[in-house]
Amino acid sequence: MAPVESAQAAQTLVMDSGFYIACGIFFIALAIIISEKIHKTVVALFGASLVLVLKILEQQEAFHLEEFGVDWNVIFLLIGMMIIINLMRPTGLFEYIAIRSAKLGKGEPIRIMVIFAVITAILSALLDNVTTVLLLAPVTLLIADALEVDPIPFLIVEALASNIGGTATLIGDPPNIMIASKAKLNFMDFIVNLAPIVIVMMVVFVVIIKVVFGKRLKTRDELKERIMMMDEREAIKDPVMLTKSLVVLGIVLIGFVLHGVFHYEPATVALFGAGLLLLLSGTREPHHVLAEVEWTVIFFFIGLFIMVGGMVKVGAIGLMSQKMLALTQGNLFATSMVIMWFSAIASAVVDNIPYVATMNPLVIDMAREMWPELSGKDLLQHADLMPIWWSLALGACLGGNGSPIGASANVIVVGMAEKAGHRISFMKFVAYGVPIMFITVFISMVYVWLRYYVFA
Amino acid sequence: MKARDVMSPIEDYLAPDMPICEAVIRMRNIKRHHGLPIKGMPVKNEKGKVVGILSIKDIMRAVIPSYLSPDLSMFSWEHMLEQMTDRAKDKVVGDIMVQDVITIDGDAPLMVCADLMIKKGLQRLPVTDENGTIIGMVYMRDIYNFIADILTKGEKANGTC
Repeated sequence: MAPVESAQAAQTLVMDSGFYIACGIFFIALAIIISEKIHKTVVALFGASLVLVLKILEQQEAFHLEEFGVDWNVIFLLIGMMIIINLMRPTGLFEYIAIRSAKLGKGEPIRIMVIFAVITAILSALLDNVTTVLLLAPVTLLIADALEVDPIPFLIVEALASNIGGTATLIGDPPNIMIASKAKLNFMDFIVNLAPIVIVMMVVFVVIIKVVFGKRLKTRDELKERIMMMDEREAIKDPVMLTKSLVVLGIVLIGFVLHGVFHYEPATVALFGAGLLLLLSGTREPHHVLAEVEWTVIFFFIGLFIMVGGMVKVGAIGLMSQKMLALTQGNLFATSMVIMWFSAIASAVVDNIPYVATMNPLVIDMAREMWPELSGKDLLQHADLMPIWWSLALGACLGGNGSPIGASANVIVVGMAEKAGHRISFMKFVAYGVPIMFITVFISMVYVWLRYYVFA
Repeated sequence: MKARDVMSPIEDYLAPDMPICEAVIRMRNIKRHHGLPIKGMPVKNEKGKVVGILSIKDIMRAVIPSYLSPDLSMFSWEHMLEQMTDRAKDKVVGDIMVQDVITIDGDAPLMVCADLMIKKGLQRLPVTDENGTIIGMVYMRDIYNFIADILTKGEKANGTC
C-alpha cells in the first residue's frame, strides 16, 4: 500500500472509530442512567471525561466552542436562579403563599386543590419546578392532615401542574432553558408562543380536577376550622430580607422580559439578580448559600453537554437528522408532529434533559440541511423552523407528566410522600399522569397545527 | 477507668416486631439505680442479634410527621399531637428504631466514651466484649456522675467549693 493511501485509510479508521466511540459512550451512559445503578451525575461526568481523554473532543472545544461544548448560558442561568431561590427560601414567603391559598379556599378540599394547582403552575413558570414542589409539598401534607383527607391526589396534581406551568416560560423548565440558548430565543418568544396555550391547558386541567375529585374529597366543617385558624403572617421570618428578595425577583423578571431588547443573555440577568441579592442580604457566609446550589444537577448538565458535543463532532447527530428528514420526507408539519409526540414519550421514559441536549443539535443540523445558505439567527429562527422548536419544548416538558420518573418534580413529590408514609406506586402516578400527558400534548398538537400551519 | 467499669447490665431487650405501646411499657417497668425508668433499650431479633436501639427520642420522632419543620410546625392545630400519636400506634419497634447502633469496646477508656456520646449526641452506649457481643450499657448520667465527683471533691459543708 502506498504511504499516502495507508495514511488515508488510517485517517478514515480514526474517524470511524471516533464515531462509534462517541455514540458508544453516550448510549451506554444513557442506559446506565436509565437503570439508576449509578448516580446520573457520576455517569455523565465520567462519560464526558472519556470523551476528552479519548480525544473525541479537545478540551478547548468542550470548554470554549459553542457548537460542541458546554452551554455556559444554561449553566449560569440555572446557578443564578438557584442562588436567588436559596436566599429567598428562609424568608417564609412560600409557606405564607401556601397557607394563604388554603384559607382562600375556605378549607374546602377541592377548592384548595384547584388553587394549589394554579399557584404551583405560576410558581413553576417563574422559578424551577423542583423548588416549587419542594416548598409546596410539605404544606400540602400538613393541610391534608388537618383536613383528614388523602394527600396523594393533591401531591400528584401539584407535580402535574408544575410540569404544565413550567412549559410556559424560558426559565420554567430545563428543556426550555436549553432550547432558548441554542435557538437564541428570548423570554418574550416563550411568553408569546407557549404561555397562551399553557393557560388553555391549565383551564382544561382544572376542569378535569373538578370532575374527577369534586365529589370524592370530603371533609368536616370543624376540620376546615383548623385551616381558617392558621395565621399565615406567622410564616414570615424575615420581613426585611423578604422585601429585598421580592425587589430583586421583580428586577430579574423585568430583566427577563426586556433581555431581548437590550441584548443581554438570560444568564446575565440571573447572575445579576444573584449577585445583587447576595450583596443586599449582607451575608458574611456566602459559603452556605453557594453550597446549596444543586451541584449534582449542574454537573449532570456539564457532562451531558460534553458527551453530546462529542456526538455532534463525529457526525452522529447529523446522521440522525438526515434520517429524521428522510422519515418525514422534508415535510415540516409532519416533522414537528413527530418531534412533539416522540419528545413526549421519550421524556416520560428518560430524563428530558439528555433528550433535549441531543435533540437541539439535531434540529439545528436539520435546519442546515434545509437552508444551507443561511446562518446565525436567520437559520436558527427561520419561520419554518419555529414550530419545530415549540413542538420540541411542548413535547419534552409535557411528556414529563407521563411517569413518576419523567420529571424531577415528580421524583421529589413521590419521595416526599413516601417519607410521610403515603406510598405513590408507579402505576398510581401513571394512572393520573398519562391521561394528562396525552390531553395536554393533544392540545399542543392542535395548537401548533392551527397557529403555525393553518393561520400562519 | 474503662467502659466496662462504669457500665450497667442490660436487663431486657425489645424485639423488632413489637408494637410501640409494648416498648413503652417495657421501658417504664425497668428502673435505673436512681429509681427512674430507663429511656432507651437495645433491640434483639429472633436470632439473638442486636439490630437496633430504641429511645424515647425515637418514639417522639415517630409521632412527628416527616414534612414538619420549625418553619411549618407553628401551623399545627389543637390536638394535632394527639392525632399524630394515634396514627403512630400501628408502627412497630423495627420501623422507628435506630438501626446503625454505635457501640464501644469494653476496654475503651472513659475519655473515648465521653467524646463519642457528646459528638454523636448519644445518651447511652452499648458495650461489647472482644467477640462483639453486647455485655452492658454505659449511660451518660454515669459518666457525668464520674466527672461530677471529681469536680466536687473539695466541696465544703455549706455547699460551696
